[in-house]
Amino acid sequence: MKTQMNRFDGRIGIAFALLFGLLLGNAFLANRSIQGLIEGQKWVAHTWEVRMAVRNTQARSAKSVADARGYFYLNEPTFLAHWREDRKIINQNIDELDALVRDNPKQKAIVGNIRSTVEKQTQMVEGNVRLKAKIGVRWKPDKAQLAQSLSYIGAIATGLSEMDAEESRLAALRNRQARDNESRARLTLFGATMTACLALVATFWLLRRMLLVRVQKEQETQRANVELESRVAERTESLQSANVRLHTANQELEAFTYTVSHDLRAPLRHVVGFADLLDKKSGALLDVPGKRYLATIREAGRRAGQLIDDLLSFSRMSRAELSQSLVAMPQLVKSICTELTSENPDREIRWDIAALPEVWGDGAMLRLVWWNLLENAIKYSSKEAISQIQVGVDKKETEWEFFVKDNGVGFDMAHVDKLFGVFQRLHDFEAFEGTGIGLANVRRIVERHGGRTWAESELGQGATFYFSLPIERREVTETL
Amino acid sequence: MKTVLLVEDSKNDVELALEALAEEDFVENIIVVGDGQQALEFLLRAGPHAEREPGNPILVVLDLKLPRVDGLEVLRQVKSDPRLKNIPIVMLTSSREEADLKASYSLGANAFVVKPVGFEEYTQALQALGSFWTTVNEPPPEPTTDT
Repeated sequence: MKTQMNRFDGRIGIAFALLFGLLLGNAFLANRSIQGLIEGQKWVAHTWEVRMAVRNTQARSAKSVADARGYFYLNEPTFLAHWREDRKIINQNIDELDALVRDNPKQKAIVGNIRSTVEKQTQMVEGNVRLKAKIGVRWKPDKAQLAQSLSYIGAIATGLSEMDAEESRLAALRNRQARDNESRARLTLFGATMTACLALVATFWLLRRMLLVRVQKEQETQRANVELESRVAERTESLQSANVRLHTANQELEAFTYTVSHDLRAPLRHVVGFADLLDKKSGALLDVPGKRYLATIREAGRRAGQLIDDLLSFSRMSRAELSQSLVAMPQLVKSICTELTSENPDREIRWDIAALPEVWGDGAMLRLVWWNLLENAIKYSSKEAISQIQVGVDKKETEWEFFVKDNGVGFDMAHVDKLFGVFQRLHDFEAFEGTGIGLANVRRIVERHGGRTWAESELGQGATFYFSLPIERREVTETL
Repeated sequence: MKTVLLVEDSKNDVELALEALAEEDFVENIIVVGDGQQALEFLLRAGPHAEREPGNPILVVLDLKLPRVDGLEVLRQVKSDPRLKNIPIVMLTSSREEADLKASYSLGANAFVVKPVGFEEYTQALQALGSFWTTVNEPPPEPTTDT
């Protein structure tokens, strides 16, 4: 999702850069087109300016001819003044024309011709004026002079007409160019605007798609969240119902335990009690088999009672809350060894106890662990002349590994799995007394402390029982 | 007369108990009732025991599981009655349940004895119990009627 978004972001950037470039180009093109238009218009105006100046010169030239004639043929001196004024204006007009066409050599050449013709004409008229003043009012230009004058007039008129014609041609040309420029500008602007619009549409489309993708992703996330929440709720519900079931099962177990504890013990007590009483009161009357039967009843009853008591103690131990404190293993083991030694006065026991650490745990329960393991070590080495019992510990990364090693009968590793089960025995009751609850208790206690139990042996080579306990204090596992 | 009240529904248990205490002097003074209702009637001199001599027993030996009114209820009523609350009560039961132990002591039981399986052990326990409460222990004075 993130890479897709990045790709979108990149595309948006490119689209905006493109759009920006297009708009800039558009502005540039528009500016250039307008410049071209203005330039064209300027040239068209210029042409009209030249033609206006040409017309002015033509008109003034005609007027000056009329004034000259008026002076020579009507002898009116005013006409001479007018003629002189005309000459001045014609010269000004020619200067103006010369300035206007300075960029056009052809026109400039024509202006030069006109100027020299006008000069000649002026000189001729001035010469005639001087003659008239000398000879008298009767003087008039002769035919040759008139012909010369007419040729000057013609030359000037022709020059001006040529100029006008040239300007007219230029005007047409420039008009056409201006129109061309205009339509090109229109086309360019239209094209640029269309491209910008397209880019705008593309950018909009891209933005919209990006937004849609983003919204879609958000919806998906939301859906996933809702699903997750409902699954959590489902799990919680099933956990709660499992909890209720467990609670019910626990209550049933409590009731069962109570029944075992009370109702099963009572008849058993009566069997044993009355058998004992029978033995006490009438034992002497029984024959040998009868005595044996009675002894068997009493013994079996006691054993059944012991089994019930062990089972109850295992159940109680599994349910009892663990109290956590720092337990000093050296003192604990030492006191048990002392007690066991005094309980087995006829046994020679050699204890080899290593330095033991302090551990976190339930002191009473850990005492039961050591008691069971050490008592077993004595029990199963009782066939040896001397019981050699070694107690030690290994420090591992996160736990202590304790062990109790004896030189007893050992066991077959094929049955190691049964060793820690409830009422599991690997030896005959006749050979070694016990109900088979001890190691089950050991495993249960150690596991509740977060540790493990295991054993190694070879038949006839002694056995080593291990249990581990965490080095760090930890929350105890509560069993239901 | 120093009487001991034995509240026990099992005839077998009664027989074993009386047999166990057969050689004790105070066996003559043991009064046996079979359920909680009768126990309360005896203590309160009500019902069939309305005509009995006044005075509390020096000890009540109480089973937990009883018909009609159970042992814990008898205990609760005795310990909440000003006339009876000073009577020592020993719970004698088959139950090894910690819940029963806790409930009994919190209701004011004076002792809690689990019935041993073997007759010898049972006899020893009852004899020890009997000799302590009837001989060693000084029973509480009879409450005056206005207390």
